[in-house]
This record gives sequence, C-alpha cells and structure tokens, in this order.
Amino acid sequence: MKQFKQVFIFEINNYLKSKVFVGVTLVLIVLMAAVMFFPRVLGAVKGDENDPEAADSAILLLLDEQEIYPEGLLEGTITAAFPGYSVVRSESADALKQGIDDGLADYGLIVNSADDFDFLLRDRTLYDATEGTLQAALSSAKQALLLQQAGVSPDMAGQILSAQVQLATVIRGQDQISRIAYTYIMVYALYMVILIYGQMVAQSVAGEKGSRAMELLITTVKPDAMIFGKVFATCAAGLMQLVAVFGSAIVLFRVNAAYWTDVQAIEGIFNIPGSLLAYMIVFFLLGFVMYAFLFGAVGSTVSKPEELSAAITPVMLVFLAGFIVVIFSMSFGSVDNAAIVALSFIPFTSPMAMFTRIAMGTVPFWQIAVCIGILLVSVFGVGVLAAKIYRTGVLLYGNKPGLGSVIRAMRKA
Amino acid sequence: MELELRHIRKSFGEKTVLEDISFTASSGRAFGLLGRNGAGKTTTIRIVMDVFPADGGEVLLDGKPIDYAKLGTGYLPEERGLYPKKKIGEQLLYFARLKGMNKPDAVKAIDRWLARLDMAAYKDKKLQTLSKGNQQKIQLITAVAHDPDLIVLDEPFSGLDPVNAELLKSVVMEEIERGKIVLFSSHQMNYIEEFCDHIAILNRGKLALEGSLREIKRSYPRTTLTVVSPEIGKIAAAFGGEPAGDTLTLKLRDEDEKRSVMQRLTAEFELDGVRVFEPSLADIFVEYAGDAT
Repeated sequence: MKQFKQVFIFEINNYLKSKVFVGVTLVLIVLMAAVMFFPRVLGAVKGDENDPEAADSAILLLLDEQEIYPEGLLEGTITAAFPGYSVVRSESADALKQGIDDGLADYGLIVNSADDFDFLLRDRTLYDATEGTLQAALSSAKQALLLQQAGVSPDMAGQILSAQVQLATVIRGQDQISRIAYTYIMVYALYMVILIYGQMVAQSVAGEKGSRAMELLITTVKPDAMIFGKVFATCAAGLMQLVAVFGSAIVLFRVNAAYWTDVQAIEGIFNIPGSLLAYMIVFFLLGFVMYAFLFGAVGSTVSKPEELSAAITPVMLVFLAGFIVVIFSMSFGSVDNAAIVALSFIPFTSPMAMFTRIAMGTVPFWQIAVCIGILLVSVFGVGVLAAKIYRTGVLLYGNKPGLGSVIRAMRKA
Repeated sequence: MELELRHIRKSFGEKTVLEDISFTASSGRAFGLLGRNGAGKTTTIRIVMDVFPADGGEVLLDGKPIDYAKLGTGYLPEERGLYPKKKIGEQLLYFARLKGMNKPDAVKAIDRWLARLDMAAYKDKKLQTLSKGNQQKIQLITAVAHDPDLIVLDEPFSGLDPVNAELLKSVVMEEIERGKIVLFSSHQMNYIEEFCDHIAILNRGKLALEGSLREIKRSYPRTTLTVVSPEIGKIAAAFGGEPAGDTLTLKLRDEDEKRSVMQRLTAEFELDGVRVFEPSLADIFVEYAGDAT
C-alpha cells in the first residue's frame, strides 16, 4: 500500500509536470472558451443587425397586372406570414426587376395566374426560409380566393383558413432528438479518453522496459503496486483533464448562456439530467480502469515502446468494434437492437453501449444493475489478470509482441 | 548474517534453468557468483531478490526463511537503466522512497552518496545527459542509498574507467567492512579474485563448484613449480620443458619431489623466484564452466 502510494504520486507527477499534458489541457480549455464566446463575439461584430425587427424587415414588390386577386388579399396574407414586410405594388415587370437589381426592394412577386407566381430575389442566402413560408402564404391566398369565388364571405373564409387544432406530444420514454447531442459527445469522449490514456499506460510500462528501469523496479516494487499505481494515477490524471476541460466549458457556457438561446442543440448539451451524468461517471470510471489495466498488461509484454502499436491492436479492435456498433445504432435511432443490447452486457463494450441505451432509450433498472455488476466483477478480474500478465511480462524480453506472447505470459503467471 | 540457498530449483515451462543450487554467503565477506552467459546467474539473483519464487528449495537468512519486508536489499542489475528523462535527484528519491525510506532520510542519504561519488553537481540534471559511466554511478546509488543488508552487484565494473573503477572498489570495500552481505556476479575474474573470499560457479543451471577461493586453489595438486631466472635456458636443459621468456613451468612427478627440486634449483642456478603454481580464478573458471565439463 505504501509502495502503491509512492508509485501513484510519482506517476501522477509525471503527468502534471509534463509540458504536453499541461499544454494540451490548456489548448482544449482555450478552444472551449473560443467556442463558448463565439456567439457573443459574433453579436458584437454584427452590432445592431442582431436586432430582430431590423433583421426581418424587407420590401416586397408585387405585380398583379391582370388583377386576378382582389385588392388587399395578397398584401394581407403576405404581411400575415412576414410581419415585418411591407408590400408595394409595382407598375410593370421591368420596373419590378429594376427595383430589385438596384437594391430598392428585397423581393419581387409576379402573379402570372391564380396558381402561378414568380418569386424574384437578388441573392439566395444559405438559410433563406422565405420561399417556403411564401409558398404556404400564397397557397392560403389561393384557397381564400376559391372560397370567395364559391360565395363564402371574406370573414368566413378567413375563419376557415385559420382553423387550427392542438397536438400535444407526450414522451413517456426518452426524447432522442434532445438527447443525441450529448450522448454522442459523451460516447465519443469515452472512446477518445480510453484510447488516449490507455495508450499512455501502455507507453509508460513499455518505456520502463525499454529503458531497462524495469530491471530495478521489479526488484524494488511489488508488480501489483506498480500496475495499480500506474493505472489509478493515469485515471486520476485523465479525470483531472476532463474536469478541467468540461468544467471550464460549463462555466463558460453559463457566462455566455444569454447568447446561446438561438442554438437549441448547444443549449441541450448543457441540460444533461443529473442521473445521466452520474451514470456517465460510473461507466466512465469502470471502462477507463478496465482498459487501462488491459493496456498496461499488454505494454508489459513488449521489449521496447516501438513494438507497442502492434501489440495493442487487438485491444483497440475490440474497442473500436463496440464503438462502431454504438455509433451506428445511435445514428439510426435504434438503440434497442439486438447487437447493442448484447454489447451492453459484454464488459469490454458495455460502458459505451449501456450508457447509450440509458441515454436514448428506456432500459429496465435490473439490466443496468446487472450490467454494472458484470462490469465491477470484470474490472476486478481484469485487474488481477493484468497484474498476473504484468508480473511475468516485465521479465520477458525479445519476444514478438502480439496475442501469442500475452497468452504465453498469462499461462506462465 | 548468513544468506543460504538450499537446493534451489527453477524451470520456465519445459526449460530447467536451475537445478539443485546451494551456497552460503556471509556478511562482512564478498561472494562471487560466476558462470557463463545463460548459466542461471540472473535467475538465481532474481530468486534471492524475491522477484519470483523458486520451484523448490529454500532461501534462508540465518537459518530462517527471509522476511523481505525487514531485509533491505540493493541491486545493481547488469542491464542498467533508469528514467532517462527524469532529473537524477527526483528518481533517486523515488527509488529510495520505494525502498521504504522516509523523505528527510532519503534526501540526506542521496546527497551523501552523490557527494561520495563526485556526482553532486548532477543532481538537477536529466539522466540522459550523463555519460555511461556516470549513469552507472547513479544506478549504484539506487542499490546502496537505503543502506541495505544484502547488496547484489551484477557486473558492477563493466563500462567504468579505471578512476571510477577504483572509486567503486573503495565503496564496495567499505560496504563489506560495514558487515553487509555482498553478492558479486561478473565475468571480470580479476575483480572477483580481488574481492571475493567465496565463490560459486554455475554451469548450465548446475552448481559446478562452490567454496572458499583459497581452499579451492590449495586443493589443486601442488606438483607444478613456476621458476623465474636469468639462466632459464640452462634450467630448461637440466629439467626439461619449454621456457616462456624468463619463466619456466616445471611439472613434478609427485609432491615429495618438491623439496629436493627446489633445493637443487637454489643451489645450482641463479634465481629470481620459485614457487608452487596456483591456478588463477580464470583457469578454474575455464575448467569448471568451459564446454569440456
């Protein structure tokens, strides 16, 4: 226990004193700050353009040479659909086009027949929704015209056309639309952090073997204290980095919350329910520790760091396969398919799979309990196994890395 | 204190690495563990250091199983290496703390040893900036800083220049005099011969020879004389044999002849020296660890 503490302190100091570790953390925080301040900065640059009334006002030139629509009908429907617009009658098609080309007006509408219109505008911007809204407005104008022609009074026609019903959606399970954003972010973060930090553990073990510091370490420290110290120090370092990055993101978001009200997706990310956050932390820690043990064990079977990438490939492939199934299921909105349900009980994939199911579907509590139970047992088992492999692996030199040497090391242990 | 290995056996899978190894090393005396590459020295050392257990046999300290929690052990591995990118002071502290020292004692001991080995100026340097010999001195500190009772030195002199070799010799002598059990493993026979009272020679996992070096040497038949003389040609003519330079190796028929031959030599020839030939450790080593056996 005393040695574990020493190894833990030594290893965590290695991270905290590493320029790369500190640098990456700072860069990530700066990036988060840049993202979170983006709308505020954008607002400051745009200035008064951000004023909603100014932004939505426009002049629309209207030409109805044959006077198909009764006076005021088109103006009424258009201004009803676009409250800020002013509709101006134009003399001729040429005058209308000229007006738009010269920038005197924003849009033009030419009535060719009762159900055939030309919509003119100068440049179409990326997010222009005018067309769709206009189409709907004109359709209702046509409907009003038909009703009037059939002898319905304009008031009555207006009532008919504006008749609406209420449809309230009651979601009994999970609303996938609102949850996909942060589920995706969390699964991706889980994936990245496990890979990056897992490899750091493997790298650190392989480095000690490569530099032959291991020769001295194995006669000084009990292997269990060494691998446990390393794994938990790496987890602590990873967690510190995550808390620093996501913590600053949350703080920065709160500071800028007023500027983010337009972007619901981003706002949604920061409205994670507390219970989900708790699950996230549980799955995160268990998955992380388990993979760190695996990577540490694999790292102990190679002779030098250069051989590492070949040796960790099998572990990475298992993990990647799970990740792909989870991401595809998520993208197709089907988080209860047989594959993901199966993966949510296999310890090597369950942190990602079960978390996704909880976040985006409805999972009976017993399944969650069973999953966490299996994970806990597996983490313990993998830890014991990893220490065993490590104990033998650290003494092996010159073996070809790969599954074979890992299994050999295990059998000898 | 007495470290005793009794009938140690060890195999890795199908391969038997050690077979019935027994020897005793005492405090205040250096013990030399000899053997060719792959003879089982490192495995023996690892069993002594409790890296892994033996398949059979016992490792005893004063007749009782070793309590490694109490016995301090120091080890200078043949494959040297620490953390290349860490500062020397930091990693020495780490290893001393792993050996169970508290921080103030560890710092004190490290400073004392750095000064003793002329390395005080390097305390805040990274290990990789040092020469090989200096890195080895740092590594030596990891083996002795915590004042262990048992010190195992594997090829301690390889890679050291003569000045540093002398420094290391004096350090080792000091530790022996302080009553430590010092276990040497080396191919450099001259150093072993200089330090070690007791030796064990391993050959392919078996104990080929074990005992006091002096007794081993005396156990050889004392029937060969080494004669040094300016008149070596005449002596060779009288007794037979081929002189090498001014030295002649003279084989006797039996030990009883020694006295009369020596008397005749001193009476008839001018001599620089005559003595009974004793095999060097290198000779003994070749005899017991060579391929012939």
